[in-house]
Amino acid sequence: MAIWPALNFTAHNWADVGKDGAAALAGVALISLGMGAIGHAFHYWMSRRNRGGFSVVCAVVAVGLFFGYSLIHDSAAALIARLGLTLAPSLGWLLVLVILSAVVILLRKHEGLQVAATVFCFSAAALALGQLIVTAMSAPTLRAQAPATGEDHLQRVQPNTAGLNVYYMLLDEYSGQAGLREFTDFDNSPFIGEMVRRGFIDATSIDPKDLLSNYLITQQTLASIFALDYTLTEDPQTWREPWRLFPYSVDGAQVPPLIREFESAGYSVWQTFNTWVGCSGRHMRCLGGHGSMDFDYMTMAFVAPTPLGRAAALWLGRRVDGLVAIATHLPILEASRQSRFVFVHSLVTHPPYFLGADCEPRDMSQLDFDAHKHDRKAYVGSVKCANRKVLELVDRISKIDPTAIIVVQGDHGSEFTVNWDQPISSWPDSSIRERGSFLNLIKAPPRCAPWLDRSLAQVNTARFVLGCVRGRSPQYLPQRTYLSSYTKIDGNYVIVPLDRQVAQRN
Amino acid sequence: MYLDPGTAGLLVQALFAAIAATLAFFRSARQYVALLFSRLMGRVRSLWRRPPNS
Repeated sequence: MAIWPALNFTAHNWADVGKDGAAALAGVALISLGMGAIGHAFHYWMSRRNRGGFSVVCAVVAVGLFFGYSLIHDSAAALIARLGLTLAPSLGWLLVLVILSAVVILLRKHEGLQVAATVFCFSAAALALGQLIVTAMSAPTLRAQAPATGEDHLQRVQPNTAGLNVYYMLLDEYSGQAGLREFTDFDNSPFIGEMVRRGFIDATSIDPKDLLSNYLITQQTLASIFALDYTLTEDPQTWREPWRLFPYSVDGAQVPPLIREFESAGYSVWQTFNTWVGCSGRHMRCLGGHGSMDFDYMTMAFVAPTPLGRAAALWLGRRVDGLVAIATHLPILEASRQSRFVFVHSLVTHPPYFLGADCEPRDMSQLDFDAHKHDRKAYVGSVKCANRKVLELVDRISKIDPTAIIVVQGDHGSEFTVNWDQPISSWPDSSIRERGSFLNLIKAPPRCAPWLDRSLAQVNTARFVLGCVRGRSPQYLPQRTYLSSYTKIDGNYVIVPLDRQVAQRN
Repeated sequence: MYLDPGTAGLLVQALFAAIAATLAFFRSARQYVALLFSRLMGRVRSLWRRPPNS
């Protein structure tokens, strides 16, 4: 009974389990072992009182209620809302607990119940194991390996102490002003105004207005930033090479072009830890944590449906966010004389929106991992919180480092109107406008201002930053937007250029 | 990008396991399954013990 949820979880996330190896499942295994150990100790104790069979029934009910918490809670919330009552949804779970306990106690001497509990354990675990075996057999290749380059790393260069420091803050799922206004009815212009007063330029609305993101999926956008190029294109060969996706692109054997350029200029390159990718430390130094994310993240996802899930999500999600990491480590960075490029990836604006508008922890019973599909209020709250954190951070950085280049950027927009199951070819304009909308605020020294003469999406922003640091005119690429759904075919994303999609639709 | 906790999978597996458990709860159903199983095993044993055609 204790290993059933772990088997099911592993089967469901087989592709992600492979990203960082089985070690990522250590937390899941520990929880299962702990539950099993408690169950066996309880069985031993009850057996001495001749109640061994009854303990099996208790174990089934306990594990079922533990992992069924979220399901029962959400069902109770829906029922309570439909009945127009004002009760806490957790009462529904308590009611189920009381009913099941009463049934178990009433039938405690019934041999059939003990046999049924044993049969349930073995059936459920066998079904989950079967699913895991089938999944593993059908997708045996997991780990994405970048092709070897024959060179381990760049030759060490003399540290640069006179370069412009760069803070590249990527706020996951932060829409642009137009997207926020159209799809959440939120006016973000006061924040943009505050940033403009601090010397930022809104780089999505110069020319053309309301530029769309280069990609619609985080893995693709972030990889393109580090590649300084469009890594996935209409060429199907690019879809089949997983090292073109983030975080493989920065954790693989090859040094990504952006990092190579900064290192060759004598910069130190840093990355903040977060619950999505962690920080491998292979090509970048880590801030706020080191290692594979997946221990924290997989454990968090595993316990998500349980009563501990929301607490774990709150604790882990807030503890390791990129904005928190950079704020904490700014004095350490400042103490270093070497010029630096710092990549900050924040999940504050990403579901389940841990923080409210005033950056207060949201009510644990309201956290919802599917909130990106419907909860506009929570999303707007997280945007307000991110605004507050960014303003504080920008003020701190500007005080100690007034010439720093600061980028505050989204990797794509929200997804309230996006139906991921719909083929890309039939996506309406509104879905593309929403998902493609992204924030892009850039602060750079006046000498780089002439190069901010057009709207920039992520790839060209990275090129701008590099050009500004080098003191050379950036080599901009033509602006492109590539569409893709999360639905993969043969394990790969399918990429459609925006202009082709529009032509097909018309 | 968040992992799927797999609740839907747990629910489906629990449903099938609950059907098996419900059958196991009733003595008559257990006896029937035991009978089927013993007949099946008897059939397997008889196949195993069948002498070669030579």
